[in-house]
Amino acid sequence: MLTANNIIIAVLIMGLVPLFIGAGVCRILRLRKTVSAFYAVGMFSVWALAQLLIVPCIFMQTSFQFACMFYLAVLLICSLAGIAALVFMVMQPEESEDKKKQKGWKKAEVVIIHILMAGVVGFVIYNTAVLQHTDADDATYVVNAVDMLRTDTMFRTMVTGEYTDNMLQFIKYLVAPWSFFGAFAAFFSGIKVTVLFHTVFPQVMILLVTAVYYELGTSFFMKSAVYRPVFVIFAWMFNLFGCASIYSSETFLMMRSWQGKAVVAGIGIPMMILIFIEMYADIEKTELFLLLAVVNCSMCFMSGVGLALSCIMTGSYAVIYSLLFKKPKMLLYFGAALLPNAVYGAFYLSLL
Amino acid sequence: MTADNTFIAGFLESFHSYYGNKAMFMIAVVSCLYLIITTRRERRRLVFPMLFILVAILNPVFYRLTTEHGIYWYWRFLWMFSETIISALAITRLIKAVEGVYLKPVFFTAFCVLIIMCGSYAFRTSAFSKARSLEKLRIGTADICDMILEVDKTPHVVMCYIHASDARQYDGDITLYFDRYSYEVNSPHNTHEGKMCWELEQTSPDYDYVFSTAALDGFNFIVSYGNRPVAPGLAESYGYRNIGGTAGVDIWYNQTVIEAE
Repeated sequence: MLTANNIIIAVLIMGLVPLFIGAGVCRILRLRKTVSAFYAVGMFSVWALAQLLIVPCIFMQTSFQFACMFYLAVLLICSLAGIAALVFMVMQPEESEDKKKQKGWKKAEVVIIHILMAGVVGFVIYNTAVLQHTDADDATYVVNAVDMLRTDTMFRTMVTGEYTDNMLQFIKYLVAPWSFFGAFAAFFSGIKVTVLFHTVFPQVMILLVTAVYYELGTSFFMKSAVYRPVFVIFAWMFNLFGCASIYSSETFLMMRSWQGKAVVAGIGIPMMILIFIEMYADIEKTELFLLLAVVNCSMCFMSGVGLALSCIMTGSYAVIYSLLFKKPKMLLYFGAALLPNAVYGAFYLSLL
Repeated sequence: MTADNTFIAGFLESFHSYYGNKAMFMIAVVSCLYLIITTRRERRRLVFPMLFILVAILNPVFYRLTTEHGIYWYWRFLWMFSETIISALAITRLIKAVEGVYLKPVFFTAFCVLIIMCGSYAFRTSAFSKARSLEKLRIGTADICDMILEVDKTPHVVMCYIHASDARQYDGDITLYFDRYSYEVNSPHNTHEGKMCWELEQTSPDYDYVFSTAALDGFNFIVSYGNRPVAPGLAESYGYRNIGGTAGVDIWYNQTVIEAE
């Protein structure tokens, strides 16, 4: 059973902390100041921080509890900075370009279509809560997290439960320790790891991907607020009915959203597209390349496939944009944004 | 068949198995065309890069490159071509372009119906079942583990394959003989774990091997399929006794087993 305490701490870790950190990052990087932008940017920043802090901890063989405390301390400091940024934003409200461009917010149709969007998202959340899909890959993703809590070590227990000194048995997960995030949230919230992965994570991911879709809708329909939720509704319709095979990104998002590779497919790639679309509007804005580096880093945290795909996507957009805008200097920025991929990729290859 | 033909056949098979009936892929292609024709900005910032990525990955040469380097998950590269975003954008732009307040809801509904008719529903009963607990594990795994943990808090279990993935998600103190990767259909005897797993999956398992090896390796529990009965007296001859059955399995326990190490 989940207690009120469990739920409050889980909401803090996976709801408010990303929101505060996102507010801080959005302010520093001069990004859109909306709740959905805060949450999307914040969650990816939280994962990027995990990648930066936890991979060294794993290799230094620190205890799991130490890694949790270290990570929590950094998250809290960043959250405090985010709260300060939020207070500053509230005290000195600035009318952003986006807001100036928004028209017709008070129209009834905008309210109705937003309610419809909430209904679609609510439908997905309800079904994800009351239905279950078992996936054999959890034998590693979830079990690795179970063992972190049980043994106070990271990636030292085989999926059968045997202890091993050979960390290279886990080579895939050493550079992409997604399981840590689940174990970390379970450690502080007191929620059983399996419950957290199978019941709590899917709800968080649905909200997160909705935030990313909403921001994409805002980028596509800057001047007409009514079409943003329409875009979100259709994006969800395609996810709901796009499960043409067990391999599609829609299937991964809908059926196993708690796994790192599913987050890459369903959330990471739309987030990258969002950044590239924003770049088109202002290609000189270097802050967007910083955000791209953060998202690339978090893609490395999610899965090895995230490392590869974010690398290819960044490279492809670098080629296209440098041709479109005829600015070779841009390749340098794209290259800098690929630094996390290069570092963790080289690290992975050195372990082979 | 030449080597090149083999790669093309493999590539086409990957394409077909990824896109299923290809209805959604066709919607995405039509959406790309619509966006290319109607909008310069979306063409440049979304469609061209997506098509560039699609062309770069969706060809036999790239398929050959990846498979030759041991990447078995070629289809994951297709995740980068986000047909969801392209199609949703095209449809939303089309609705926006429709003149007339009353026509817009009609188009909205028509597109929803089109997606429903062309698509494959995610929450279908063949993929999802009603959740019985917050843990959302395979039906029966929790009952089996509870029965075992009631007897021993740190059991060593030879668990039949169907529950092997979920047992340690329920309780990490359980040690398993083999994991989900042990089942090798074509070469079952590569490892002890593979052999044990393979035997339990047979319609007539070699229980002599199963019980003797489990006892020798210090595994005090064996979970076998209930519809594959053990010959009377065989389990007892290796020190195991039946402590009950649930969810279609029989649970065998050996109190005297000593860990091999």
